[in-house]
Amino acid sequence: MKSLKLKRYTVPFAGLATVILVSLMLSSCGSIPDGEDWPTFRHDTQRSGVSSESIDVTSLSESWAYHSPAAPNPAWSGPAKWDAYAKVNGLRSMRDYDSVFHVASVGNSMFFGSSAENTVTCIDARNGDERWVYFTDGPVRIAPTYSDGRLYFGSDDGFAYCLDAGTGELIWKFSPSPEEPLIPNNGAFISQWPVRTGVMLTDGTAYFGAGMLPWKNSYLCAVDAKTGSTEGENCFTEMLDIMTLEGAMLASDSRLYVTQGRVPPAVFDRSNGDFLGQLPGGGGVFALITPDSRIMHGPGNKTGWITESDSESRERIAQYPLGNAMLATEDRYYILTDTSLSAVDPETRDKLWTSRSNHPFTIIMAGNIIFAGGDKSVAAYNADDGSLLKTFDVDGRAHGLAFSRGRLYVSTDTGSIHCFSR
Amino acid sequence: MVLSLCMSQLIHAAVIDQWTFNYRSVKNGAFTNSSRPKFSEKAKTFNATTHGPVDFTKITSTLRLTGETFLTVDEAFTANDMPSDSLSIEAWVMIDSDSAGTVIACSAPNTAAASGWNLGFDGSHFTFTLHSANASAAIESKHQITPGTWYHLAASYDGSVASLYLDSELESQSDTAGGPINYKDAVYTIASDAAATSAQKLHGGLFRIKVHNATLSAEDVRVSFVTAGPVMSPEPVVYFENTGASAGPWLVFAADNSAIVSWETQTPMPSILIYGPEGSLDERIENSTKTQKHSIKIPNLRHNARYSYALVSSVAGKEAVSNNYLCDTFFNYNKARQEQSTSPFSGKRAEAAAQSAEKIIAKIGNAKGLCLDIGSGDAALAYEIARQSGMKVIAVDTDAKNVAKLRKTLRSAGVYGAQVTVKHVDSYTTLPFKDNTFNLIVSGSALLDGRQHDLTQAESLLRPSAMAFLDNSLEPKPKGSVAASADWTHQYGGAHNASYEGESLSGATSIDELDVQWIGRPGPRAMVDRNSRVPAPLSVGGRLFTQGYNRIIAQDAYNGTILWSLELPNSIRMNMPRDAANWCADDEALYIAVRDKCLKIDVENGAILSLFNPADGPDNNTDYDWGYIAQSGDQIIGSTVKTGASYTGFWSGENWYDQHMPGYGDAQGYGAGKVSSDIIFAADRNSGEIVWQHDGSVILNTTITSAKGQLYFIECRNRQILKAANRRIIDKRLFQDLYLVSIDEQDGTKVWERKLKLPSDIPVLYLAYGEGSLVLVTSVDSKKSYEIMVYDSANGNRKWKKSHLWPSDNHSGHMQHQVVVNGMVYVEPLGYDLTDGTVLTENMGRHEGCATYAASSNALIYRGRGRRIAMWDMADESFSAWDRLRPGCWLTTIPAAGMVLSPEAGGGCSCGNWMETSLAFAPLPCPPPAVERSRNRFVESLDVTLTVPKDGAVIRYTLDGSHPDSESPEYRTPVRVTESSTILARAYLPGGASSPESAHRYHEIIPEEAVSVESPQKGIRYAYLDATELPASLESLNLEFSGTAEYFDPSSLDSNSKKAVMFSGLIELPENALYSFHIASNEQAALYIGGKKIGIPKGGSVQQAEIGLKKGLHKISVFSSRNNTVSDLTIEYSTDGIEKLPVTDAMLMHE
Repeated sequence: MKSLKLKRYTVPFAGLATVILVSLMLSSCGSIPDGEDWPTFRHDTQRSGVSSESIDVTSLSESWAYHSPAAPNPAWSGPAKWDAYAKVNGLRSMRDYDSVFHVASVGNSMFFGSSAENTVTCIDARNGDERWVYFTDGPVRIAPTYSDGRLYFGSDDGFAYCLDAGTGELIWKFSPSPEEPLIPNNGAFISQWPVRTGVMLTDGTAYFGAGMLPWKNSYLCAVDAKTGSTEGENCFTEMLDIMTLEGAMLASDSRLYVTQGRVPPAVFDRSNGDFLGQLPGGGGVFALITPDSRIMHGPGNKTGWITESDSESRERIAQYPLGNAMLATEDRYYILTDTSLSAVDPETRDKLWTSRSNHPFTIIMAGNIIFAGGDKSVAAYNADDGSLLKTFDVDGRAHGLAFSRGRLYVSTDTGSIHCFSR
Repeated sequence: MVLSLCMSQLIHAAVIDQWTFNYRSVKNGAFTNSSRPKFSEKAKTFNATTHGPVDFTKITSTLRLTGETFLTVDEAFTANDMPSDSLSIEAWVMIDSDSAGTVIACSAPNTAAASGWNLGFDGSHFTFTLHSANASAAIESKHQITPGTWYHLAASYDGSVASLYLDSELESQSDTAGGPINYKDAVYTIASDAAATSAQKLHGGLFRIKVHNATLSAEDVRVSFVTAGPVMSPEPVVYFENTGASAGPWLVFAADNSAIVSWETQTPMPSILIYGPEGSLDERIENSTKTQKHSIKIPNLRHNARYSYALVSSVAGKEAVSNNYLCDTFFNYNKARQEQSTSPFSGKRAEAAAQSAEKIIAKIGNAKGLCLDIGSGDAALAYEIARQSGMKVIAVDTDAKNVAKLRKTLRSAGVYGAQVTVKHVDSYTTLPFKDNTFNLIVSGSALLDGRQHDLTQAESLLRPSAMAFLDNSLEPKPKGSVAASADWTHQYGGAHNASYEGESLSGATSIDELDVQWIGRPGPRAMVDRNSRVPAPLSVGGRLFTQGYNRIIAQDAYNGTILWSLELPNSIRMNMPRDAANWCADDEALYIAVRDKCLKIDVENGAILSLFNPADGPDNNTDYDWGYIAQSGDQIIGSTVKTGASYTGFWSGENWYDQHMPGYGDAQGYGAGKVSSDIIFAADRNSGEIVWQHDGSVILNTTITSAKGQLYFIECRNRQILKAANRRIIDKRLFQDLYLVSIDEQDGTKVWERKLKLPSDIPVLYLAYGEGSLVLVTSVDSKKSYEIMVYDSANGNRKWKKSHLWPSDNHSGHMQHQVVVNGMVYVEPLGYDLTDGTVLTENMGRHEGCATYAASSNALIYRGRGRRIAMWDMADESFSAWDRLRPGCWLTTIPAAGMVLSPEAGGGCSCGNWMETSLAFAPLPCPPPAVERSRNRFVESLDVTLTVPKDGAVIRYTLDGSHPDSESPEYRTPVRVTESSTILARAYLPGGASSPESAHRYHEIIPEEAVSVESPQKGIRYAYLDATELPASLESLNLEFSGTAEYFDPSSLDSNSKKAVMFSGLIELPENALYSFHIASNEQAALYIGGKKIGIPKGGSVQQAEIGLKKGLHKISVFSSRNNTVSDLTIEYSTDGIEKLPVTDAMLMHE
């Protein structure tokens, strides 16, 4: 169903301003180090967490750190202490997408959203100086997405936003939901249709979801990335029943995948938003699409597992017990558990190596290095053999990692963001 | 040298199993077996899996057992893994009860089988029993067990002699067994025998267990005892909570990342606390001043981190350590506040703002929650209110530039978001907030600058009883209470147990008439598992109180702000169908029973005001706790119950407490015992002094009812019951010598009593009061029924008695609590007239899943279809439910404060998709428009009738996907949809208030084309089949028709041996429409239209499906099994415009 929506706000001449200001931004940033950008949550729309950038990990040291006055204000508290009836101890959180301020980084700019200050902030990646801050009316829970000089993100105020990435000026914002009073939520005021999926960009279309109350309709939107309009090719607004859309969305060529917290991820036709079904394997907001179009998600409803499914047919292929997070390259899967990091052959599922690890929260990869987030530190492992190369001290639990142009960004649950660089 | 050599020989020769019970050796609930296989003849080592909570409670980090947990050795274990000729067992154990139990056993579940061995205790001595093929040995220690003392226990068997050692001393020997040990059906268990009955589980501690495949000599035992000795505490452990006059601990988190732990001791002593990251107690804080009231601040706690702490008593220079407790800073709800921010404001204006804030805060008293600043000016007042009070302030301003400026200013001060936020609004008269939300409303620009604003919306936004300060006079403008809102002060609403306390919900009876008022904390992590049937939340004065897992959380009921929280170890109580709740509240205080104390807690701030003791129990040698509790006038009504009677277990399905009571006294009956008190008393609610007490009987806690100055209960006067040690009673004699008693609450004098005769197989029984009547409800296991008996509360005369079958024997179907409301008694599934027992409804909303009912004036609130939180309208008997919201297993969603309050209670359900959140739902001023019909699929067109939700409301709607507003088309006549469409509608009241938007979706179905047949013939052909099951598809059949029939009538066909018949032909349909077909049969049958199977009834059931079909002929087939005589195969159809009609002969044809 295509529909005309009323709550779209567009700033005149924003397109021209974008071109001019991005140019200004780039010129004012001095030389940009070689390497790859990290323009969205976990690098790309497959949420691979993998950058091809090669690095010398031994040369990295802390160059600056940002400390928020207030720690992140997560949307949900959990998981439960245990399932005492079923005697399941060690339940995993299925809604922990906002335990830290996740970042995106392009050129010499780093961007993050804050669930504590309701803001999106641009930081000069060279020195940690703040360039600009944009305020919304609700917590921002997912890392912004950079595309073509613009920055896209969602807020608990019910809007998806598009800013000029160079200046932080609003270009457009859009809400698919009806106007209703805001409701108190852990001290903040939020819409009953918060945008907690972030905003995902592919082929000039911005995708996002709005809604958290299953007894009310939710909205899945594809809007023109330039204008925020729902009119146009591949644009739609789908009204959905009994869904909770939360966690960063993913995309394959033909599908959209939206994690749903305590419900398995929902799969939609990317061209029109038709609901195609759910993935098998329980809830969770960790998800990635492998290079050969398989989708991994977890940690499921009990003590943690990652389910591998065919991204088209949604059929379950395999399940990796105790997995907290994964990486997938052409020839290897890397699986992080509470106590280990392992490399697995994707086809035979043979373990190629296993290293003991006390960095259980998240992993990313840059070149041949795997970074794993732990409590008060981040570890760097050699992806070939799992050997520990170096650790980096941080303030808090490192649930968020990103690597861009020689810089390692570490986001922690205290509201800190550390930058390590040459 | 000699010693080490001996130890080495010992280990190398014989250790086949060894478990050390500390936190380092447990993983995923299983303790690692650290015996070394290379030294063992056994090929395998078996880990020990826990069943129940795992708690390491001592400075030595040993496993603390509270009678709930036991362990089983891996299922792979077989008797072949256990030596039969030469065996020794060592255990380092502490016993903390006087009941019998097991330390470790390898024995058969059925004790009559007499196999294996058991190292245990009988309540006073340690015991060792073993069974050979033809004989047994049973020995016990000479020394009595001292509770709380650690022992090294060793037992051995050399094929003929069994020996038992205590702290290396040989205590007893026996040669009565002889020969190899018989391990038939043996199961290997720790802290319980194989039967795993609740009464036999170890209560105490375990440090280590070793099993040897050799016979230890006395010297071996001595060496082992000596070498392991230093790791054990030489002092008996002191459990503070068990020492009579002592109490605590309780823990309160502070904004500066600290925690204050308080406790009381019987005698003055220094205050000493040890703590550390979970599992360690390496840090020590000490205040040498001797006192009985202790308070220690633990500083610099980490964000979201778990710590262990323990209390240390010090008497005459000797120290002893308490249990250890958990301090989890995840539950520090104060941490967001920034105490030390630097003000971004200065000068006289800042001083004026600070002084105004101070005066406002002083006038409103306990300033907590949410503050709205309308027209905030420079936000100096907003900043000061947040800084001085800790309130969260949202400032709104119509000047967008000022908003941008304020945001930057406050952010630079480090307070933006966590303490103050600023929002741009178009107008101060249409602010986008819910009514009844704010604890305080101010206007910074009006107070400090004298600016004039239209602030007429402020009153509606204030929560009840809150204040607004809207001009520089600083005169408060208070708001009254919500009309017809009610409190929920006790487990079932009030002490009357009616499950109804007068809440009207402003007439709302369905979820469409309510909307989310707030959502958020507490989440599942704070809670007890959903299954344990914990006490209901309470609500008083617009506050919501919830018991979590050994904690209390107090919230503002209108906005969810956590006002205070208290970590309260040992406060858990469960199995409400068999006990009374442990708490109640009035306007001033919350009263909660924690073991042998009642804590009186200030409802405003969580401060513990007083500790009350229960009336002394009748036996000086028995420990007693505070059982029942209720508030009535100036008194607290309490009961004295034997320690250990209340249910506190929460691990495993056993603690679901859904048992009936088959097999009194055996394992299956666990959880069905009725918690009963020895004394009921009244205490002054200020002093705690006992005013009167009633004793000499055993009082059933679930029947204690207080109403209008009188106390009612059922008591048992059976002598054997009175003498019994246990007050979690499963003895059938509990239902002999029963009396229903009424007592004057002021002086305790008996008003009347009535002898009762009840069955002896009662899973639950409850008493409630309503409108001058006492309503006694019992369920009766043998009859699978409820019995409802209603008595005149003035004299005990019975008014009427009725009985009906219970709806199910599981998931609380057999243990529902009555609801007494509006002259009715509801006991699922019936509603009776309270006056005479006439059945007034049989359509009461049916519960699904384990929970019971609460009532507002017009609706029942419960766990309904789909196991969701549901409402049932008493007037039109309609049902509605919130998707993916689940309550806990009993009563966890309550109507109070004008709202439906639903603190999270479903937590831990790893099998469900539940939301796991707390919420409140408030009545809507105007509900959204509904539709008169439920069909949402159509062929060609559909007329949709919208219903006006409130008199005078105007409906405006859209069909193009845009959100309707006051300019959208007005609804006057039914909306005709001719393609897939969504009608979005909103109702507007005179004056401008509007309903939420409602969405109604309709899908056009393209009908299947009719088939073209030249000259169709009347009748339908049939063929016989050998099939006994439904064919997978019509295509797979190769039908050989036997003839033509006028109709689908298998009974009219030839009798032969074929098991089924298939009719096949054409049906002529009268119009293009969405058809529903209905098929009924007393046999297995199916209907196929256009090749699609649309119904599979069995034995008379009917199924239907919708299918879009065009006017004309369509293929039809009917399958019918002929196993029995087919007597009533009928096929009917209906459409949107046609009521159900039979398919007639005239409609049937064939090619």
